[in-house]
Amino acid sequence: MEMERFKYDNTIVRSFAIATLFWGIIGMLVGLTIAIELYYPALNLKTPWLTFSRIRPLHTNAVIFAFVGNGIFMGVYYSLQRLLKTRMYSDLLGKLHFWGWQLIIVLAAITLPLGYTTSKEYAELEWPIDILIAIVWVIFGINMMATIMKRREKHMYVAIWFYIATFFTVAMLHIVNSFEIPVTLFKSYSIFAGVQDALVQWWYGHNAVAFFLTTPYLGLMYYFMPKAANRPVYSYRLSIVHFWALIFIYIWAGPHHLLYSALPDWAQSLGTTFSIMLIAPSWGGMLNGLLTLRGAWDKVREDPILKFMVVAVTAYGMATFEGPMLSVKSINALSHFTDWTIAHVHIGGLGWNGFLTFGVLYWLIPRLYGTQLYSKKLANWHFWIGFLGIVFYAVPMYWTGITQGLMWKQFTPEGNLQYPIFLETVLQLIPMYILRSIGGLLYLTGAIIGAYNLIKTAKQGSFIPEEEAQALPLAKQEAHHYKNVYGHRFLESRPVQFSIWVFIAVAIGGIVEIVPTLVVKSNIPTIASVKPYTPLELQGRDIYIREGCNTCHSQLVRPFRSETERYGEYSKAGEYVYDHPFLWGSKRLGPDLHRVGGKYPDAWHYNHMKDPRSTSPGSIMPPYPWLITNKLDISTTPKKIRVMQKLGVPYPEGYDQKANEDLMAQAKEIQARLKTAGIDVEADREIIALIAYLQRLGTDIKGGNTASLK
Amino acid sequence: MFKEVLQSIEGIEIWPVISLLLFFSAFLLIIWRVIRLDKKFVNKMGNLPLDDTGDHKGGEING
Repeated sequence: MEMERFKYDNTIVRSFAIATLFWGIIGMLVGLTIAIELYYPALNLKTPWLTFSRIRPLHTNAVIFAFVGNGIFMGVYYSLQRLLKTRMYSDLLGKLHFWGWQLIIVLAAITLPLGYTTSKEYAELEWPIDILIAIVWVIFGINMMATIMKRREKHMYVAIWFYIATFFTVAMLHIVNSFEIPVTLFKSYSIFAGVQDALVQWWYGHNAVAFFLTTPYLGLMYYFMPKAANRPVYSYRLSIVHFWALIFIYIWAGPHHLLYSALPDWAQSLGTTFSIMLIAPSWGGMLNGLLTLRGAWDKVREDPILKFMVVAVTAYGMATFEGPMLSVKSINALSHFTDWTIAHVHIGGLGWNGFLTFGVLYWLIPRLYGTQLYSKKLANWHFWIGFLGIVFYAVPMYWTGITQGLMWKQFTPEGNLQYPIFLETVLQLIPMYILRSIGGLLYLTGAIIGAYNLIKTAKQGSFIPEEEAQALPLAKQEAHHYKNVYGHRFLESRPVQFSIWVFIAVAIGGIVEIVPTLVVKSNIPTIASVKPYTPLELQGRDIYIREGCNTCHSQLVRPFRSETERYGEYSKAGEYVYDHPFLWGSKRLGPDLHRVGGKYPDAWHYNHMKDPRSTSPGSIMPPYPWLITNKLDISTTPKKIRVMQKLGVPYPEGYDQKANEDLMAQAKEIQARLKTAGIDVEADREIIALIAYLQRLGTDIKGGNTASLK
Repeated sequence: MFKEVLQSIEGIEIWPVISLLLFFSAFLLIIWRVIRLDKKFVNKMGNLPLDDTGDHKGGEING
């Protein structure tokens, strides 16, 4: 039979590899910067654009979508061609995908520091970029599916299933979580509100971890680990069970991010149950990876690539055991809102994603350049420095998480909070924050050594843009063989049916989770005293979002005595019905703000924003002096009101035209109150709006709503 | 308050049960399928990544 000759495209793989390294180092550098800002706030150089609350999302987006994202595409474009014995369907689509993705990253790097954000974690980018992401993602999907269609290998290897699941699920998550109505070019409101918005966001957020940081990387593990160890995967049967169980269960677990929140109890329990079930497939996958090295463990001592991969898979096992544990309500009660979560994600990020990426890069780059690795010794150095970096990062973070969690909950024998001042619990953590940044610095140093080593490797070889290969066309194989295929083999040879089943598996979880909430929407106990925000408060809320206050402050008082003592009445679902988007936050570097309204005088907020240390000595909050000088843009008020009306917020008809009158009236009241405290500020400054919003927070159910809508 | 929310949705308690049943039946089905897989086929699939040097003959498996 006649073989077909064709060429694998290595250029696209190289492009993504370079982008992976480049953005990886940038993302880690931003991470190091924010880690240092926690104990040295002045590192923001007094600019809004480098302030912690604005660039922390930049760090998370950079490492997830730029570093890991490019890493995914690098691995997919390399392995897909070889596993299917065909070149990618279209070089042009590949190029569009590559440059489109880099454009998205650059736009993120510009817009996030400027304060254009939706506030939804890992989905902060505003609507025009959301649309661009969807387009580029679909380009990737078309290129991948079309490549699968023109394959010369009848059956799809397990890695490809993970890629397919990644494509469909991320598309679904991204689209649903990005339902928003634009207000201006870079401002939109989520169509969901409050509890519902929180559930959709964490359904997305959790599954972004599942289907962006996990499934594609499991695909890479199933391809590159056998490659590096030069032996087949331990159990192909196990990989089938691993795949279906993982994608089926993962999608349900989102609500474990919202335990003890105002989310209905049944949804919380569902999240916990499925999270614990997740241990099984996750560990099945981990063991399958580790056991692939059976009989090759002696090589692990010698080969830095295998070292990276073994630590990566072990970190995956640790993180996927810890995750379900953190979903147990009693553990979550302690861990949530603390640095424990940060430690947990960095075991996954630095260990699993980071080290697997480096393992793949060290394997791949010498092959792309037809040479040997420049220096095995340097690669070993990278490994050990990086490994130490992980330890120095994780241990202090576990320490701070548990310390702070315990301090929040500690009562004196008399029944009072032992540490009633939140700041006390933060100052306790500073030495650990310093250690953590050293861990980050070590990890970054390792990455830079790795980049140097890989660049040297590339320089000593010569790039092979096209790799010759040959294989039988599929049609000829079909004619001769493969009769009576049934069961899973049938699915593996039929990508469209396979994709449909994948979609069904992930959609069931999504539907069961989301649909009841839509039902809940009409059933959320409405609280008669909860009123829409006044125009000034609405503008203030958008400043709160722009500055990223939700990065460090939650708006969710959990129903614990330790929280109601500290903050006041616990949060009710009905209080959030006008919150587009919700602002519950996920981390308390500062105290919860849901009941901050009326707690301090206006002047306190003014001074606190100008210089947090003037009101709270030792505070690690950065100052926000620009709020005092920036003029509030009220030209957007009518449009904002109209969009809110469209979303069902009951402003009276035609209110958009008189909203600014009310806004100025309320601003003047606050200005007057500040004046009595000896502070002279014009009424049209941003600080006034922010104060209005903060003073409103959580007051609806107190009965003393200071400035309700006229 | 949670109870009120719960009670207001008809038959809410059935949701988690349905979820679990759905998953479990899917899981059993997969296990059954996997056990019945042909050994030669499984070996061939496991070796796919190692077999991509470009001179793949194809067709040598017909299990």
